[in-house]
Amino acid sequence: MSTVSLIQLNKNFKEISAVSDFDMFIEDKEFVVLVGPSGCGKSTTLRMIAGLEDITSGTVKIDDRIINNVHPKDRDIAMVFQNYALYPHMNVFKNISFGLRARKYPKNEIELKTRKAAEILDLTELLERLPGELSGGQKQRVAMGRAIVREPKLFLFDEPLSNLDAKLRHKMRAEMKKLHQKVQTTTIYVTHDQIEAMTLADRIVIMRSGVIEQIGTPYEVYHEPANHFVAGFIGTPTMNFIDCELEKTQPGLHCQLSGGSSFQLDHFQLNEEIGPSREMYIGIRPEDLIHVTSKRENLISIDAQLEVVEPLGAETLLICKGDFGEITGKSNQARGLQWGESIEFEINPDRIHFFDKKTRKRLRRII
Amino acid sequence: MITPILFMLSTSFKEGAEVYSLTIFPEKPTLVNYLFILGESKFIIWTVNSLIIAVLSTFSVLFFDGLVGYTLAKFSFRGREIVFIAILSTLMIPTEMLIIPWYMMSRTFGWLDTYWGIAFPGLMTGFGTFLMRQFFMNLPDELIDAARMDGWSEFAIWLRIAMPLVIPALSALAIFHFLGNWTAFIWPLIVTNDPDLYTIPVGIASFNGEFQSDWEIVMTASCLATIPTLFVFIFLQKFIIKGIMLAGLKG
Ligand SMILES: Nc1ncnc2c1ncn2[C@@H]1O[C@H](COP(=O)(O)OP(=O)(O)OP(=O)(O)O)[C@@H](O)[C@H]1O
Ligand SMILES: [Mg+2]
Repeated sequence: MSTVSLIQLNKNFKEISAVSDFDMFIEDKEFVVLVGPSGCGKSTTLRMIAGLEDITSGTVKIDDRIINNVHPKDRDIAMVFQNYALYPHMNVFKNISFGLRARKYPKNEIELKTRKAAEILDLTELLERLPGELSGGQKQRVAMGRAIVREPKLFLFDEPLSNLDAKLRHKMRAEMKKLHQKVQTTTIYVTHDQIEAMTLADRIVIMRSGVIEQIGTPYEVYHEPANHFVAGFIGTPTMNFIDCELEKTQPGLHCQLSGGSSFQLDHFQLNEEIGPSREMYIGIRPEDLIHVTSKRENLISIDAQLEVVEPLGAETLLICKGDFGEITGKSNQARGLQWGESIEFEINPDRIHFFDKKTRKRLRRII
Repeated sequence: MITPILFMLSTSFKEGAEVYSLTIFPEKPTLVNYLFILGESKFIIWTVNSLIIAVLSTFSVLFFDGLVGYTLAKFSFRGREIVFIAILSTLMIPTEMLIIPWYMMSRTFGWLDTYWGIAFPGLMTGFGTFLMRQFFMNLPDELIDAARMDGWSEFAIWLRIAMPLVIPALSALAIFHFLGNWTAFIWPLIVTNDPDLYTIPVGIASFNGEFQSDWEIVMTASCLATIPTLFVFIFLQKFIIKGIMLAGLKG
């Protein structure tokens, strides 16, 4: 039960900067997820908080205590590693209780706490086994048990589910969420799986090359991405991006797509002055590109030729090629679509994201 | 390969006159040699000396080589490479070259004719340090990190996590070192004058008089001297096999 302050955290390996100016305040009981592409500094950030990696500059505080120079053993933080890092020569019981023994708990209390943790994680039958005799999912649960048994101030998870197969990962994700609701310990969780991030997080931190791109709730990072990178990183299938030139008209904006198509947005104004015209990317999520079968008046739409149909069951993805490039849209109708057919997609103007081509920042609609 | 050992065994049951006949089976097997060795010579004392020195120095080697090997493998600090190379380079110096400096050291510090004097050159070895470093390099860092998060000190992690996971290497090192120490001859010979401090090899050599050698006695003593090494080998071999099984479970 603790808050965490990360203030201007920096980490350099020799000349390479792995994390720069990481700034964040984490509330008590919060579940924060760090996501980003491989090598963006997620693990390094986590390891700095854990004390496993020296901090080049900056401050880490738990509650109001600065812990920059505190040995990991004295930080009262539990960590789950990607490869579980179970001690191969100890059975499950000893693995789970190893941290309690370090803290010199009385014997009967160790027994009690360990059995309780094992029960929560459904490990009671496996207590005598060695890690080598466990399946991946069971190992993962032992690693979790080792973390929860100590009731630490803070949990750190470094891609704990990445070694599991898809089905098990899904199940453990739900378990993870239940567990957090039960124990309510402040948690920082690293993953490169954005679905994991979206489903687990109270707040998501999106990183790239050591820099925070955005901090926000799953809703915010999805619907109000700070920039082009975040918009492309969050969401599957990824957002469609189209080069365009915005021109100011009365009373609104004219959107000239590369390749020739264009549409008009009336009564539309962005939070930045765009001058007479400005180079932009527009971004539209596949679920906001709806295949329309019957023409209606005043519809904002774009046309493209159908290339691939991907039926997913509940809905169907249409991958199409227009004169502006490739886009992915959705259809409720899976049958009867022909390769090369011309498809019209409807666009809800409120669901269009505008990104400045130079700064790559998102502009917001204000009118 | 086995012939010399057979002769050693058979000679130990022969009487003095028969020693030079090359028969495997003694004509009149006898136990007088054994009675002499165990009853009238200082063989028991030498055995105790040898055991004390070999056991202590083996434990010392496991401890210090393990500790230094681990440090070299798992901590980065300035000068690590230099320390490692310095330790490696000691492997290139033959023991014979070190004996004179050791002797002068021992004389200066008054270590002649002491257990410490016999044992000190073998309390830590470059080879063992190198061997342990190589094994510890394969130990996953995550295990060490996990133990840190679990609240253990660096020394405790070494003792409780790192060392148990390299038991096969430790057992092999223990066998090598114990045997090497058990059969060490030149240095114990030089550093001891008092027959009460002889180790077995030095003691056995002392049966070889200047003018006459009692081979049957020498052989009997040698037979007895191999017994502890057999036990050590059998005992430690179990750990090597067990350790290999454990290594298979890792990951
Ligand atoms: N010990 C190290 N020495 C030098 N560079 C390192 C070290 N550890 C990490 N780096 C570098 O720091 C950067 C961030 O690494 P980090 O492990 O934090 O990435 P990550 O976001 O966890 O990636 P992944 O998703 O692949 O685990 C990378 O460019 C990496 O090469
Ligand atoms: Mg990582």
